[in-house]
Order: sequence, then C-alpha cells, then structure tokens
Amino acid sequence: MAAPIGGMKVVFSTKVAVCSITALCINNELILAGEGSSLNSYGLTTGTPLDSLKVLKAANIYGIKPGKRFLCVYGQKCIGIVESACADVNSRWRKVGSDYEFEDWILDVCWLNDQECCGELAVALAHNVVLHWDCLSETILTRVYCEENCILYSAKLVGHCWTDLVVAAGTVYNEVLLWNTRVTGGERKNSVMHRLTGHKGVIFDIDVSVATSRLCSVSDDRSIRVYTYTGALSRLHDARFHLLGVFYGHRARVWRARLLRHHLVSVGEDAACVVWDYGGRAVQRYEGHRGRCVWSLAINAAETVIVTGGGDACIRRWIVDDAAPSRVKFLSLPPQTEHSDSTAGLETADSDGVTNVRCDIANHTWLNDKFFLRDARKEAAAEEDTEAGREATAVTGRTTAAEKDTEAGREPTAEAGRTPGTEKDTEAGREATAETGRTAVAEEDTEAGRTVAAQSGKEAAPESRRKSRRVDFPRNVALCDARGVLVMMDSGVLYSHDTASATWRVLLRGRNNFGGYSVMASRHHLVLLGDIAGNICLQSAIDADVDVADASAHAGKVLGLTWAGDDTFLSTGPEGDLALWRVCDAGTSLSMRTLRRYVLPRCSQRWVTAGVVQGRLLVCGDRGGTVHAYRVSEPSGVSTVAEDTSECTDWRQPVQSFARVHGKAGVTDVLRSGSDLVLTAGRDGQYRQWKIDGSSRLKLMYSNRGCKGLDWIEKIILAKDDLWICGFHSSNLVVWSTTLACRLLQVPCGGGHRAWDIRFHGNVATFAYIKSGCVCFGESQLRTDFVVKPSLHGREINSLCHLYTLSHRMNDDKMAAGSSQSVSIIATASEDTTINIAAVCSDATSGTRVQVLYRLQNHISNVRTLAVSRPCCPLVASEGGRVMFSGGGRAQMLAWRVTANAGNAASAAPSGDESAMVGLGEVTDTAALCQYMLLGDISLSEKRKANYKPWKEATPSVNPETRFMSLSAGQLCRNGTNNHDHDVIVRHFIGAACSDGLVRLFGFNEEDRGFQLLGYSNFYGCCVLRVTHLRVFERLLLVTSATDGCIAFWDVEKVVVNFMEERCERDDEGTDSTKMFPKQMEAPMFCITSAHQSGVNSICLSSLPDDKLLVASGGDDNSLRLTVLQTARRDAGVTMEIICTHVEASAHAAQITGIKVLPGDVIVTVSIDQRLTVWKFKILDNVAQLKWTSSTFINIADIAEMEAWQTLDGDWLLGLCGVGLQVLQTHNL
Amino acid sequence: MTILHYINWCEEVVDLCAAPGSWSQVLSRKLREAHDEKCEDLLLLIYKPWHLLVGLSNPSDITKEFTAQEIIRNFEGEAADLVVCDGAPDVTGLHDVDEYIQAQLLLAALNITTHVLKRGGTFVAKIFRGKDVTLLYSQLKIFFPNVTIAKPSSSRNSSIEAFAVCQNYSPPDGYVPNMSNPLLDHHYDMDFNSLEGINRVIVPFLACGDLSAYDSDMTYPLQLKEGEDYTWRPPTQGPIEPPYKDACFLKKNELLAKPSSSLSSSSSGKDTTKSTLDTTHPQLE
Repeated sequence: MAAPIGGMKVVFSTKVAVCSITALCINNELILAGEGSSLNSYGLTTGTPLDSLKVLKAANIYGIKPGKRFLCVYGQKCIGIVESACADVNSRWRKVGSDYEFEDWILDVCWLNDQECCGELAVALAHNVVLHWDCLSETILTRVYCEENCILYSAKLVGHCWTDLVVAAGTVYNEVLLWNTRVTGGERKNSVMHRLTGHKGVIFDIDVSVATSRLCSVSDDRSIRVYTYTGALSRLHDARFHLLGVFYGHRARVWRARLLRHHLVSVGEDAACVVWDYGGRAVQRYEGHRGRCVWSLAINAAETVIVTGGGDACIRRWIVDDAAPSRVKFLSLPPQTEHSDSTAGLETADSDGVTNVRCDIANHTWLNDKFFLRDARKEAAAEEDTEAGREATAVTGRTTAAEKDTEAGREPTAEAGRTPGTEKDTEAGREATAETGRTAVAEEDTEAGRTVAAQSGKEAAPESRRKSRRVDFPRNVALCDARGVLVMMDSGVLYSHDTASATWRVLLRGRNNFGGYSVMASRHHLVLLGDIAGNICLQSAIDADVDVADASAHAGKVLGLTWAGDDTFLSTGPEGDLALWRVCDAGTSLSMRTLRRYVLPRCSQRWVTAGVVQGRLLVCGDRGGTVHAYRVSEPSGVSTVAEDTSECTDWRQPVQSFARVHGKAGVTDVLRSGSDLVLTAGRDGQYRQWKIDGSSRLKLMYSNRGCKGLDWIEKIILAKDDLWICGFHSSNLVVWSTTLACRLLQVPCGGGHRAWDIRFHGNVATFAYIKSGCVCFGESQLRTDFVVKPSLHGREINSLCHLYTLSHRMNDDKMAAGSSQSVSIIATASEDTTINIAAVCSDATSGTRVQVLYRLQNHISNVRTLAVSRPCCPLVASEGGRVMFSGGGRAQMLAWRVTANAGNAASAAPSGDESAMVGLGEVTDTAALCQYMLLGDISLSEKRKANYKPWKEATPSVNPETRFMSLSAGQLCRNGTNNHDHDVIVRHFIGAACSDGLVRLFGFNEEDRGFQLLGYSNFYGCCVLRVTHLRVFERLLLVTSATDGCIAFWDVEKVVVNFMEERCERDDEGTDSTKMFPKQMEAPMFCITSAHQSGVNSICLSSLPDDKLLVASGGDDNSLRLTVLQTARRDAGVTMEIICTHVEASAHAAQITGIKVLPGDVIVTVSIDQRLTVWKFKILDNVAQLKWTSSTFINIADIAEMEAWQTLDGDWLLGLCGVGLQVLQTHNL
Repeated sequence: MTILHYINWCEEVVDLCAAPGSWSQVLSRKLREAHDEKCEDLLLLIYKPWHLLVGLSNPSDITKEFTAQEIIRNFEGEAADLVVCDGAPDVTGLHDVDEYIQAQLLLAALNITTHVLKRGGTFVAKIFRGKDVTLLYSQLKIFFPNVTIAKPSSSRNSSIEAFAVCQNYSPPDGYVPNMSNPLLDHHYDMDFNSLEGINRVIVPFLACGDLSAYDSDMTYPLQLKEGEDYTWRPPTQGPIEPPYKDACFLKKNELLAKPSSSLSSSSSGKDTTKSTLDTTHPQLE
C-alpha cells in the first residue's frame, strides 16, 4: 500500500486578469468598469487607474448600478454589493457581505428608492421573472412572473417604486414585451401590456428614457428600433407606442444602445460606437477598438463623454463634440503686397465648423485672385529661366489638366492614392522642387487659381499667359519655432508670419535667385533655402538681423535639402552629388561648412529626401525608396576633412544600400532613436526600425505597417511611449498613434502632393499647408485622451510564452530607494494576427498590470503558437536575447529576436532550459525594457520565385491552408569543438506540429537567417496538436501528440547533428540552397498509443530520478494521464519502457489545454471548464499516485495554453491565455 | 451522427431543432432500415432553436405544452424512444452567455422530453463544455442514471461542443412533467464547494467515430483524389431566414447609415448618406 501524499497545500492566486470589458458605468467623475469579476475604477477626466476590487467569486460582471449608498454589481446569477471604503475618497471600494446567487441569470437590476430603506432592489431574471430583493437582509420579498416565460436576452427595469415598476423584456422570439410588476392577484402571473414586434433577431439590449418618452431596442438583425410613447409609463396600459425609426448603421450585430436627450449611442460587433440623431442619421462613428466587439457603453450625466469597453480589454473615452471631429482653427494667410515690412496684421478668420473652413478658403481664394490681379501689374520682370519653365508647363498641357479640374468645379486636390510617379512628366525644375513630392501639386493648384484669375482659355493667348505668369503665389511653406510660418513665394520672396501677432514680414528678398524654383527646409529657428543655381542659403527665421550664411554647394540646381540633425543637413545636387554640412549658430551670425561629400547611387529621382547621423553612420533615404548608410568621420577626430575628398573614393560610396526597401515612392523620414537605432518611413505605408551594430553596420530590425489605409507616411514622430505617424489618407492629413491605434488629428487639407509642414509642441500640433493657392495654418490639440485602458489583443490569445524576468526599478517616488521588482517579459500570439511583447509588472499602488511594449504585425494569418529557443549552454550566447519562433495559419513561421535592454547580457548566465532569468542591470523605463527584431520568415506553401526546381523538392506539396499548431524550439551548440568567438555558429531547431498531419523539423541559422526543412513525417494521419522536446542521454527527442490520442517520441539527434555539422557552403544557386534534402524522418522510437481517447491538448515532460521520465498529458477526453517511462541508453540510441500509468479520467469537466509539472511533485492542469487544478503526485514502487489538492476558478474562457515561470524571488507564476490573459502566482512551492 | 450508431433500434424519434440536417438524415436512414417505408411517421422534426414545426403541422415552440401534446398525438399516443436535440443559438462571443443560453435550450428540450419520452428512453443533446457544465450534468443525472459526454470525430477538437447521451430515462418518483414553468439549471452551493471543490459532478467522456473518418481538425488538400478536380458544393441547407438578411442587403448596397462628416467624405460620400436616409425612411412606418 502506497503512502499517502502529503505536503503543504499549493494555492495559486490571481495577480492580474485582462478580460473583456463587459460592464461600464460613470459615477461621480469615476469610470467604473467590470473586467472579469473585478470592479476597476478610473478617473473620468484623468483616465488613471484608481482601484481594483474583486467583487464576484466566479462570475463576470455584466452590470454596475449605483444607488444612494451602495453600488450593486451583478453578473451571471450573482449580485455583489459594494460600498465606498472611506467617506472622503470615493474611489476606493469595499465589498459588503458575500455574493448572493439567484436562481437564474440576472439581466437588469434597479434600486428602489421610494422608501427610506436604501437596500431594496428589483432584479430582472432571464425567464421573465422580477424579484423584489433586500440586499441588507439578503431576502427575496416578492417574486413576480410574467405570463410569457420564455428566455430573455435582455431586460430593462424602469421606475423606482416596486408597485409601478415597468419591465421591458427582450425575448428570444424577437419581441419586446412590456409589463409591470404590480401584483394582480393570487395567480401572480402578470400579463403583457404591450408587445413591440418587428425585429428579426433576438433583442440584445433595451433602453428607456422617461425624460424624452423614448424606448429603443437593438437586435441580432443589426438594427436599432426607436419608439416614442405617449402617456406615462407608470400607467402602462394607457401608454401608446409609435415606431420612430429603424436605424441600420452597424456592419454587424448591435450589442447595446443608450438614449440621450438629442442623440442615441449604440455599440456593436463591428468594433464601432455610433452616435445617431433621432432622424436616423449617423452623426459620429467612433472606431478604435481592436477586434470585433464593443461590449459596454456608458455616458456621463451631462452627455458629453462616452465611454466604451471592448473585447480587446480596452476602455476608450470619446468626447461628444458636435462641431467637428478635429477642433481646428484655420487662419488663411494671403501674403500682403510688396510693402511687406510694414504690413498690418491680417484679420484672422476663426472658424470652428467644417463648412466655415470651406467658406474661408473660398473667400481667401477670391481675395487672392484680386490680390494677384492687382499685384500682377506691379510685378517685377520675371526671370528668363522661370519664363522658359512656365512656357514649358503650358506646352506640356499641365495647365490644361489643372484647368479641367477647375472647370469641374472641384478643388484641384490630388488624391492621396495617386502615385508620385506621375510627377515624372513634369518639367525637370518642378520635379526637383518636389523634394518630397508636394510642391509640384501645390503648384498645380495655384496654376489652376491663376488660370481662373486670368480668365484664360485652354489655348491661352500669349497675353493672358504673360498675365498669369506675373501673378505671385506661395510656392512652399514651412514652420519654424515660435509658431512662425514661412512662406516662399513664386517670386522668390520669403515671408515670415508671426501667428501670435498675425503680422507678416519679409525675411528675404532679392537675394539669390529663388524665383520660380526653390527648395526649403526648416528646423527649430533656422531655415535652409536652395536655388536653381546650386546655392544654399541659411537664415534665421525669427531674427532677420542675424547674418545669413551663403554657400555655393552644387554645380547645378539644388535638388534636395534636408536636415540630418540639429546642426547638420544634407544637400543633393545634380549627378548624385550629396553633401553633408555642419551649421554653426554663433548667435549673431550663422555659418556652415561641408563635412563630407558623397555620391548617391544612380536612380531615377536621384536626391536624398531624409537622413540622419547616428553614431558613425549617416543613414539617409532617397526619393527612389532606397536607404543608404554612409560613413561619417569619427566624432572626435577629423571632423574637418580635407576638402578634396576625391582621394578617398571609398568614403564617398555608401557602405550599405537597401535598394527600394521603402518601395519606389520614396523614403520620407529618417529618425534617430536611442543610441543605436534609426527609424525610417516611406510612402509604402511602412515604418522600419534599424539597428547599428558594433561594427557600424545597419541592420533591419523590423518593419511595421503603421495604419491600414495610411499608405503615404510622411513623418514619424517619437512621442512619449508612443510613435506617431503623420501621413495622408485620402484627402486628409492624419496623425496616427501606433500605440493607441487611433487618429490623433485629421486635417482635410486636400490630400498629399502639396507643400505642408507640421510641428508638435507637447500635445498641440501646428500645421501649415498650401491649398488652392492659399496658405492655411492651423493649430490643434491632439486627441490623446482616448484611451483609458489600452488594449491587449483584438481576438483570442492562442499562445503565451515567457521570455525574460528582469529586475526593474520603479520610477515611483513612493517606493523605497533601491527597491526593485521582477518584471516578466512575455509574448502573446493571437487570432488577430499579431504578437504582443508585453511586460507583466507589479506596482504597489496600481497592482499588477500587463503593459504592451510592442505589437508585431508580420503574420498574414492568425498566430497559433510561440516557441522560445533557450540557450543550451552559456557558451553560445549568440547576440544576446531570445530567439522566438511564431507559427500560425497560412503555413507561415517567423523567427524573432527579443533582446532585453540595459546592462547587456554580459552577466547573463542562463543555466539551461529551466531558468530563463537574466541578471540584467536595472531598467527604469518600462518602454525601453526590450527590443525586437525580425530574423526570418518561412511560408511552407510559398514557391520560390527564382531557381525554383520542383524536382529538387523532396517534400510533398504543401496545402497553403496548413496551420502550425505548435512549435518547440531549442538552440544547438556543437559539442567537442573549440569555438572561437567569431566562429560560433548559432543554430536552432524547431519541431513543428502541423495541421496537415505532418510532424516537421526545421533548422534555423541565425547567420543567414534562413530556415531549412530538415525532416518530416506523415506518421500521423490526423492533425498534430502539440510538440515539445527534451534531451535524454544527450540525445534530442521530439515529443508530439495528435487528435488520435497518440503520443510519439522521435529521436532527431542524427538529423540535428547533420544540420550542425554542415558547413555554410553555398553552391552556385545562391543563398537559398545551403539545404540538404529534407527527408522523411524515421518512425517514432517510442509511442504511447491511445494515451487519450481523442486529441491530446497538452503534454509536459519531467525527468525523475533513476533515468525515469514523467509524461503528463491532458486530453480532450477530460482526463489527466501520468505515464512513467524508464529510459535507457542502448548503442547509439535511447530505449523507453512504460513502468506505470495513472489516469484521472474526469480530472476536469472539459478538455485540458494546459499542463505543467512544477517542482515539489506538483502538477497544475487547466481546462476549458475554467478551473486551474493543482495535483500532487508520487511515484513509489512503480505505482503512480495522484491527489487533487486545490482548484481555482479562472476568469478567462477558452483557455488555450498555460506557461509557467519564476520571478526573481523564486515564486512561480502561471500565465494563462484564451479570451484574455490571466497571471497567477504562488508563494509556497 | 456517429453517436447515433451507438443507440439501438428505435420506434419513435423526435428530432428537435433539426434544420433538418445530418441528424435527420441518419435518423431517417436508420429508421428506414428498421421499419422499411413508414419512417416519415416516426421521425418528427422541430426546426429551429426555440421555434417551429412539429412534423408537418403548425409551427410551435418547444417551450409550449401544446407542442408536447402535438408530438404525442403524432405518435398516436405512443411516447418517443429517442429525443435528439442538436440545436444551438447563434453565439454572441461572450462564452458564459453562450453557455447559459445553450444550457437553457437543452433544459427546454429536456422539459419537453419529459412529456414525450418513454421510461427507459434516450435523450441526446448538444452541450457546450464550458465552466458551468457540471451543473448541467447534475441536472441530467436526476432524470437519467446513465449520462455520458460523447464527442464524435466530426466535432472539432478545438470546439467546446459535445453531446450528452442520456440513457434509461427514469424521472424521480412523483415527478410530474410541467411545461408552465421552465426548468432552471442547478447552481453552486453557497460555500462554493461545488464550484472549486472536489465534489463537482463530472460525467464520463466517450470519444466516438472511427479513425478512418475525416479528422475535423486536419487540413486536407482540396484535391483529395488524383486527377479529380475539386468542385465546390453548396451546403445542403443554408440558413433559414437569418436575422441579418436585411442588414446584409443594406451593407452590400452601401445603404448603411454613415456619418456625413464633411471633414472626411467627399461629395460622393454625401450622396451616399442622402440615399441612406431615403431608404431608411420608408421603413419607418
């Protein structure tokens, strides 16, 4: 008889649960949110988290109802009563009593206030029953039934007095029933007074507004029906209901709606919140939640703030603003006449509404026309070359095109989608002006204006052409510090406008030859100008007294001019002549000198559009979309390089060029970040992060699509904890926050292809652009107050893996100095095709939270699985960091490197598979905790474009719909050879369980970032579900499980050794052909057949003493199975034999999806039945015993995976993912 | 359907919430095998969840006593040997809500079953194996001593769907079938021992279906046989009057209401809004 299992009881407690926001309420400047079973409060105006209280034991919160004294929190069948924890601070809450569980699902609750007693509630249940309940005595006083007892999807209680409470019940039969709770007789089944029919699906929500006598219902049929009623609801029988309207606006089901005084707000499955007026017009549509569902909705009493909560665990706040989505003040600035110095302030037009803006523009266009006409008479003679250019324009028919626009009565806006390639047909001069491609169209605009002004026809007479030519117009616009606007006129006069005093003055006139052609770039208070003759002029934009610096830079016209730092800039001349300049601002005088001259490789539009000096490299992007890296002189050494750089031609050429990495439409911005990072953006809609490594080589870390539809990125801005993208979307200038996933600013400027500029001062953006020949200037608050709680994933989380545990010093002053906390860096993979890298950090004040650091967007389909390759020996530390593999739908697998920042991994001594801790230096900024890099990409179904030789493909063709169900990866190191540092070849193996029934083994080489298929097997004839690996007697074994219940062990040592031994010999076919032939793997060395009746959804392996191996598996059949294997070495292999088995047939009530064997003979299982169960096991005399220890309810549904790791203090953490994320901790393990 | 192979011959069968679908097909085939031609009288189909049609007579719903009487009348006074219910509501995405609604559907089916099922008869119903499924198990155990959870291979591993096979109908002594009040599901005891404790009622699990059958989780190539092209076939039964029909029509024709934000939309966008309003108003009556 075996001894009983003893030991301390192990209990896991929840640290944090990230769930759908299923309930919201605004009460006393507080946002109260039901997240899982916790009630969290946030400041309404600040958005800061204030308190978190677990209210319900095992139910999600579906409603929060504030009463006089208490807060009633309900969900499922439970009610919890909560009161303010202290009288003065109403943000802290305390539970009163315990949960009360009712017989049926609670749909609505309402406080009854007609008596002095403040603890009485009416509770509407899902079978059309209403209870009169006293929460203080926890007794049901009365129970009232409706004659119709079908299941309800929604109910609304109206009134405050039990005797005339009205129930609006939304049935499964698509009707809204109205009845009251007045007890009629002995039968006590109340009759239905009104029946509102018309919906074609079940009713999800009902709202009644007594103040406005309205009722609305939302339904599965995606419509909202609004009724008005006459008479009082309290006399329900006499009330008459009239349908006011049926609103269709949501693209999927509508979940909730609220009636306001003048508007109706609804949220739905299309991730949108729509504001309607009662005429059925959709006034506003707020989008920003990830994924599908916005579940909850609350509006403050003043009806100015809408708060929505979604399935993405995100709470957003929207300010109801009738006027316009962007609160923009426009000033239209017609530059004054020739007497510009003494110009009086122009009247600035203040306009809030959108239509006003349009009027303004129209007015000013008209003013401008007059001005142009008047001015034309006094216009100085145009320069010869300009005239020539102008005539050329007329010949090319461009004017005609512009005219056509004008004739059509449209504003000649260029659509954003238009390819900048169309600029090719413009004259060379203009092409050059289009430093970033905007000016050309600005010109086009103005041309149209001019043509109108001159009243000229298509076949413009020489006179009218001459006339039109003389009209001056703004050619380029830029912003400088102190909120000044710089306007370069076609005539070559540079104006500056002080927006504070609304005065104009001339900065530059008659100097150089800026008429007709100029390039301009401003930074802080300095402005650079380039002309057609190759001269560059540096000028202070605020102080006209400061001496202007001049230089003859290029042999021909200055094609590109861009700042590359605060005191450096780049200029490009003809023939790819690129110069790096340094600027010296001595206060009273400005000077500049050439640092280096480079040659820009040949391309069709050969000038640099953006660049930056980072470390020893100049990273710049050209108009052709290529990113170049040039060497700059040593920072301290010879910064004054001899003028004739011709000797060292080596320096003149780029060290690296990434041809057309940003597509053919050009690089638009290059930005420095940190000490070794560079960000680039381009008109391919992507932004990329690059890293400069120790040997001053530029490496692409990742590329991200900023925003769907925003294909024209012009600028990227590093904001606090955020990256903003500035670009053009249809006819708007848009500032998009990548972290908040929403538009911060939207300006209807007419689209790209224009001269424009934008500056940010904290949360205020100032911008200027030219539209229809006018300079428009605006200033706007960025809407950064949207997100109260950021989102995690839009859909279910399929996989979770732990990457690092770091020591993190809190920035908080309240924390004792020197105290630091464990921060876990985890990665989550979701059905929404993204992978998040997130930090789980504890904080004394706000508890534990999950902070998303990065969103990895490179998967084209859902991401099902993540695997981290942990170093197998300390020797092979590679470049630091973890290599992570992600796999998912469309047979796609990616390799990533996630590197922890700071302190470097110098002291890193990873001690093998179990420990993932790295003794890093303390990190103070959570956002800078780590970096990531995309290493490689493989898609099984992808046919190689070049050199595709099907006869060399030994594998069967792959179904493109194959999913990677599970991955298991490890690092490989060569044993027995003396590795010199530079000789270390870091390779990884990846075992893959695939849905096409194949077990695949891949190799990954960090050096060439290439995947190789090493072997495959069709041993299973069914979907392979899980894969893991272990080493037994120095041999690598893969362990797989599938839907047929069989667990198989594969000896892959030989295949892997072959892969390691194989030198990186490249044959003549190029990089892709370093591969050996993938081959059918040998049959499994060992199988546990029928371990489970059907699918094996989780396996965990653990070594036991005496070469025994414990295989713990959980299945679809609810059972937990322990199999103890005896392993033995035999010849060149391993043998296995089953010693004993223990099956706990009904370990859970649903499939077991996560299992972990932890120290102390503890097994933890987790199942779809939302229980986490801790078991203790004992293997004695070849008998396996298992004892149930404890179970914990888990808030998140559809649990997909469980990960276990340790904090720095040695506590165990469990991470569960599914419809949300939950982290649990235990101290006593 | 494979579950049904485990069930022996039957005389009278009720198929609740049949679309009619594969269950009806299998049942009618089995009945035909056993009873030759007159199976039509023996198989009763009740179409949608909650709704519709007993056999070919009047539409009715499964929560009405009348429906039960109708069934008995159809069987000429005989009670049924087997009641199957493969119905499921349209899921919302809130897993607890979906599980609750599914449980209510099962209980409604069970309620009507208590009126029409013979003692010793069998009840097969779809359940969602979610967090409160143990409550349902304990409920079914009151009426059926043998309750098994079966999952056919045609049901995906990743799906929470399974089937409760309840055999040997033996209602508690003195139980009087009553349609006037719905059967409510059980709830956890107040000390939550049945929530997190060892006393949860978990019934045995049985995977069914043979290994030669298609694996519903596996990715199969479209071209299953050499030289035979894949042809798409429509589902035998599309959705019957789905609630989203009108909304989809409006969506397809760009008639859903959109904000006419003059900031973002061009003039053509405005026109769309106008037409949306025009089409919305006729429906207002």
